[in-house]
Amino acid sequence: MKKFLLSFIIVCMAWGLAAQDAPSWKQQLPRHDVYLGIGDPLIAGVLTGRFEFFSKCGGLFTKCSDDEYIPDWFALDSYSKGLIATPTISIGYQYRLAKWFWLGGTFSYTGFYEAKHERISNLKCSSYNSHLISILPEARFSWLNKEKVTMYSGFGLGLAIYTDDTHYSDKFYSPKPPTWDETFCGLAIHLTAVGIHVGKKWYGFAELGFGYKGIIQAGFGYNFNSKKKSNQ
Amino acid sequence: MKKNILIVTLIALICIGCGREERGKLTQKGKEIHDSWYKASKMMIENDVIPMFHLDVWINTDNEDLRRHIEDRYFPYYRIREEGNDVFTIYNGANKMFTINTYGKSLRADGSNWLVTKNNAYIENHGDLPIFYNSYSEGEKMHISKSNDQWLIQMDSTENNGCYCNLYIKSLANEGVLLFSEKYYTLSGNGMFIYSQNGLIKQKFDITKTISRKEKYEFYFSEGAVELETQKANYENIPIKAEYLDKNSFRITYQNITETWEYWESSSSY
Repeated sequence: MKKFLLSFIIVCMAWGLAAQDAPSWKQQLPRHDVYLGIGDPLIAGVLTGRFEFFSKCGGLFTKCSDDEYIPDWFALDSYSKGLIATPTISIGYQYRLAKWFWLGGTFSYTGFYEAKHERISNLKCSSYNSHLISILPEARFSWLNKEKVTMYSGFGLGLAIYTDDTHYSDKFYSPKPPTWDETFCGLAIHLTAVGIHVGKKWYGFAELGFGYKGIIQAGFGYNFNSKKKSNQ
Repeated sequence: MKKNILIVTLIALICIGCGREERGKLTQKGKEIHDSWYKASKMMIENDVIPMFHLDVWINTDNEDLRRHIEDRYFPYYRIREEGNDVFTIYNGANKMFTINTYGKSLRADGSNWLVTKNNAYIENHGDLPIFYNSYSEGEKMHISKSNDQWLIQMDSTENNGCYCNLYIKSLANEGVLLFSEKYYTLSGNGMFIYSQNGLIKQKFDITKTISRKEKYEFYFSEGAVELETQKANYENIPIKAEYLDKNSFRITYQNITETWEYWESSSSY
C-alpha cells in the first residue's frame, strides 16, 4: 500500500513538473517508447522453483545423504535431456511525462521446458513445462537525457501468473501418475538499477536490475513522437 | 546498426539449456538393484554370520586374553552372557538382542547346528554386530550348520516374515574357518530378501555359479554369477543377471541388455 502511495505521489509530482517544464524538451526528445527486450531467466527460475540453487537436498550447498534418498526401482527409468529455459522476453511501452520521468508497462514471459526420455528406448516419455507471465506497470527516471543517449533507473510492481503443465506419454505410463500442476497469481516486482538507451529513433538498450525481468536485460526499441506533439 | 541489433537479439533469444543429464549406461537401474542385493548379502554374511564364528572362539577358548580381545574388538558395544544349557545371549545395555543356542557343539565341528534368534527389533548397528539385515521384527531366526567343510545358513520364510535363504558358505582362509578379518569365502545357494521401499519389495536370488570373495579389499565378488528377480505388487517383475568377472568388474544384464561395469562406476542417475 505504501508503495502504491509513493508511486502516486511521484506521478503527481511528475505531472506538476511536466506542466512547469519549458516546451523545449518536448521538441527535442521523443515522448513515446516501445521496446522488446530479453533478460536472463535466473530470477524467474528460482521464483518458480525450476532452478534450485539452495534446495534442501541436492542443491549447491547441501547433498542428500544415503538415508534420505529412496530410489524407486519400479518407476520408469528416464533421464532428462535438460531443462530449457527461454530468456525472459519483455515487450513494453513508456510514455515520457516529464523530461526525466516516464510511465508505462511491460509484459514479460519466461518459459521452462523439460522432457524426459526413457533410458533404453530413448523415446520421450514425459514433459514438465512451466510458464511465467508478468504484467508490470513501471516508472522510469531518466537522469541523463542526451539526444542519442539516455540513462535511467526505475521500478515496476504488478501481477505475476505462473502455470505448470505436465504430460505423460500413454505408451510408458498406464495408468498415468497424478500430476501436481498448478496455476497461481502473485505479486511481480522489478527494480532497474541502471539502464542505458543508445540511438535516436531506433535504439539499443541494456539494463542491470533485479526482478521478474531478470538481472541483465538487453534489447531494442523505437522512439517516436505523436504527430500532434512533433508539430508543437 | 539496426540489422546488428536484430541479429544480436535473435542470437540471444536462443534458449538456454541447463540441468542436462547424461543418458549413461542403459543397465544402470539394473546395477542399482544389484547393488542392493550385493550389500544385503554381504552384510548378512559379514554382519550376521561371521560374528558367530567370533562367538564360537569366545565360547570354546580357555584363554582369557583371547576372550577379552574378541569382546573388545568384535563386540565392543555388547556383552556376551552364558545362560546355561548351551545357550548364550548378547546384550546391548539392558536389552537382550540375540539368543544363540549352540546345542553343545562348536560351530567349527561337523554336525554343528546353531540357532540364532533376534530378540529385539530395534538395533543400532555398532561395528560388527550380528544383525538380520532384511528382517523387521523380533523373533526372527537363523540356523547355521556345518557339514563337508562348509556351512549352511538357513532362514525359514515362516520364521522371518517371508524372508528366507539357503546359503552355503565355505571359507577360503588359511585356517579353514571364517574368522576375524579374513573374510575370504565362497557362496552358493538361493533365497529371498525383503526391502521396504515405497511398499514391500521381494527379491529372489539364485547363485547360478559359485561366488567367491578372494581379497580383503575387493569391491565386488571376484567370480561367480547370480540371478535376481525383484517383485512388487501390481508391477512386472524385474529380472537381472550379474556375473562377476574379476575383482574390479562385473557384467549386468537388465532388460535384455548386457553391459560391463567397473567397480568405481556409479549409476549416475540415482
